[in-house]
Amino acid sequence: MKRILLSAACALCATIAHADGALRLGMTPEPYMPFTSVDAGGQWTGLEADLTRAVCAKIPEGCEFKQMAWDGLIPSLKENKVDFIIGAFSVTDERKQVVDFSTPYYTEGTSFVGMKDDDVEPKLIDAADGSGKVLSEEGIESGIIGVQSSSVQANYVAAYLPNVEAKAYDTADNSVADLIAGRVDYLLVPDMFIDGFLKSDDGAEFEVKLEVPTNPKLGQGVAYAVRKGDAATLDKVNKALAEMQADGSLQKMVDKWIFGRE
Amino acid sequence: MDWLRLLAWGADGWGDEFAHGLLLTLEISAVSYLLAVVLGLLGAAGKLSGNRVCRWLAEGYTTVVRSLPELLVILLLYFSVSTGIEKLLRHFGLVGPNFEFNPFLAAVIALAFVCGAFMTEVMRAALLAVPKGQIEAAVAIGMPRAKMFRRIVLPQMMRHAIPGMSNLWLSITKESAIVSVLGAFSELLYTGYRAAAATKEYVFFYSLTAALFLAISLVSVFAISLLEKRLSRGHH
Amino acid sequence: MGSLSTVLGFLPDLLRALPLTLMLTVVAGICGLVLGTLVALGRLSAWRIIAWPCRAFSFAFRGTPLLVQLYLIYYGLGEILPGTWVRHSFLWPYLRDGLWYAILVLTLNQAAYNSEVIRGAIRSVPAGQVEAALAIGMSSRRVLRRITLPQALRHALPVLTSDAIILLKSTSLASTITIMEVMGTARALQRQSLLIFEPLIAAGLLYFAVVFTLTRLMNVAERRLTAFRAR
Repeated sequence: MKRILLSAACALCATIAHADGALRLGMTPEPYMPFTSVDAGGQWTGLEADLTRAVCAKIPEGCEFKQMAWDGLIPSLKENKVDFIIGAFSVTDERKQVVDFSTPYYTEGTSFVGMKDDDVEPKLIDAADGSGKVLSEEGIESGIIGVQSSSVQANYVAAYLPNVEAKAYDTADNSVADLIAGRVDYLLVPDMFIDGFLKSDDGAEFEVKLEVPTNPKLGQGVAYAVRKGDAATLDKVNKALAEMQADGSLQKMVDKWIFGRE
Repeated sequence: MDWLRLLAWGADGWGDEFAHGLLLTLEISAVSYLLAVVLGLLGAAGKLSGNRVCRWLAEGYTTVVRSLPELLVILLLYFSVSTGIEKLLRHFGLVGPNFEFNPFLAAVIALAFVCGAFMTEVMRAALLAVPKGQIEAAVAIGMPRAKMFRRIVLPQMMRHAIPGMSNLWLSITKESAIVSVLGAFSELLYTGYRAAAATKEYVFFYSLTAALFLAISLVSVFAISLLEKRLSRGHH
Repeated sequence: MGSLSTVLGFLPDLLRALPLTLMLTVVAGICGLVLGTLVALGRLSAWRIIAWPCRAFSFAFRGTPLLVQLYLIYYGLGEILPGTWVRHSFLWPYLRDGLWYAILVLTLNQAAYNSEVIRGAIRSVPAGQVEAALAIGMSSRRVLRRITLPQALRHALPVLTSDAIILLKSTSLASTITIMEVMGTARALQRQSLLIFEPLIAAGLLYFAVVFTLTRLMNVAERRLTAFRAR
C-alpha cells in the first residue's frame, strides 16, 4: 500500500524551483492590523508588509515570498522550506531556545481595557519576582479578563494575576467581540491593536483603564525569526533593519501604521 | 453594511475569492475522497483477510490514524515523511537538488490518508453486511473470485456503505480546510476567515461560508439520494 | 522532532485539560445518540410534517463546518445580546459561558451525523422480519423496540464508533469559544514555545489512549452483539 502511495506521489509531484540565492520569506495572509492585511485584490498592507518590501529591497539576493497559514510558519522554517518568517512574533526567552530573532522592529505596549461605565481603578504593586510594578489583582478579582491565547499578555496574566478568571481567545478579534458581548469585563491587549477598536463606533463605550508598565513577561518586541543558528540570514536581515533604523525610514513606517501619522 | 460591495467581483470585493475558494474546496475534496475510497477498500480487505500480517497492518492503520489529531498527521506527513523522501530521492540523484514535493499534492495525499482510515471502517461494516450464504452460493456454483466481488459483493455492499460514505464525503469537504497549514491554499473556509478578518464582517462572511457549504451539501445529498434509490432497487 | 522528555514535559498541562475533553465527548455523544435516533425515526416517518424538519436539521448541521456553527451561534448571539434584558436575567451566567454553547453545538452536530447512520441501518433491517412481527400481532411500537432498533444499532455500531472518535476530535474546536480542552491547550503550548510537534505528539498520546480504550470496548460489544454471525 505504501509503495502505491509513494509511486502515486512521485507520478504527480512537481518541482518548485526556487531562484538561486534568494531568501525565502514565509508570510501569512491572516489579517492582523495594523501589522498585516491582504485586501480582496490581493494587496498586502500594514506595517509588516511595508517593512518587508523595504527589507527585501535591501537584501542583495532579494526575497521569494511564500504564503502559508500562521500555524505553518514555524514548521516550514524548521524544515528548511523557508529561510525567515514574519507574523507578529513576540520575542520571549522561551521562544529564543527554538528560533533566532532579528532586531525587533516594533516594541508593543500593553493596555488594560474596560467599559467606561465601570469605575474600576486598577492598581499597581511591586512584583514578587522583583521585576518592578505590575498589575494588582485587587479590585478586578471578581471580573473576567480576556487575552489572546499564548500571547505575552496571556503569560502576564498567568504570572501575576493567577486568581483572576481569564479567557483565552484564538484571535484578538474574537476577544474584542466578547468584550462587546459582555462575556469578559476586561481585555489585556497590545496597544497598537486595540487603538483602532477604541476609535471605532463599536469601541465608543470602552476605554484604556491603564497602560501596563513594561515587564520582561510582556516580551522583548516583535521581530523576524530565522532558523536557529542560521547566522548568514540573520545578518542580512539585521543589516537591512539597522540601515532603516539609521535613516529613519523604520520610524516613519511605525508612525504611519501604528500612530496614524503620515 | 453594503453587502453588494463586499461581494463585488475583482479587486474591490470578495466575490471572486469565494468562487475560487469553492472550486478549490471541491477539487481538494474530490481527489482526496477518491484516494480515500481506494485506501478504504484496501484497508477493509486487509482487516477481513486471512493473512495475519495484513490484518495487523490494517488494524494498526485505522487505530493509529483515526486516533491522532489530523493536524499532527498532516504536519508529520508533510514536514517529516515527505521531507525525508525528498532527501532520499536527492541523495540517490533521482531528482535535482532543488526538488520539493508540490505542497498541494502532499496536502491532498495527507488528507486522503486520514480519511482512508475512517473509510476502512465504513467498508468493513458494509462487507460484513453482505449475507454469508450468498457468497457461499457463489463459490458453490464455481464463480471466479473477481466476478463474485463485482457481481455479488460490491453491489450489495455499496448499498450498506452509502450512508457512511456520504457522511465522510460531507465531512471531507469541510475538513479540507486543514491543508491551509501547508501553504495558505485559499479554500472556502480559509477564504471565509480571511475575508471576515480583513473586513471585520465576521457574521456576514461566516454566514456566506455556511451557505456555500450548504450548497455543496445540497447537490451532494441530491446525488446521493439518487444513487441510494438506484442501489436499493429490489429492496424495501 | 524533539526528545521524549520534551513531549512528556507537556503532558501534565494536557492531562489537566483531559477531563474537559472527555466530558464534552461523553455528554455530546450520549445526547447526540438519543437525539439522532429520534431524528432518524422522524426522517422515516410517513408524515411529511415530521420527516421534513428532521431532514432539514440533519442537512443543515451536516452541511456546514462545525467551526462556522460554533462561531455563528456563540459570537452571533453575542452581537445580539448586549443591552437586552438577558444581561440581567438568571440565564446570563449560562449564556456567558462558552461551555454550554460547545455542548449544544456538538450535540446537535453529533445528532445530525448519527441520524444519517441509524436511518440507513433501520432501512437495512429485512422487511420480512417486521412483517412477521406485525403478523403475529406485535404492536408497531413493540416491533420498533424489540425488532428494528436492536438490529439497526448493532448494524450501525462500527460507523457509530467512528463517529464517536470524530466527535472526540471535534471537541478541539471548542477552543475557538474559550473552552481550553486538550487540543486547544496543545496549540496554545505550541504557539507559546514554538515547538510544533512535541505538544501535538503529547496530545496524540492522550487521544490514542482514549480511542484505543473506546475501540477495544466497541470491538467486544460488536462481537457479543453479532455472535450469531460468527466467522
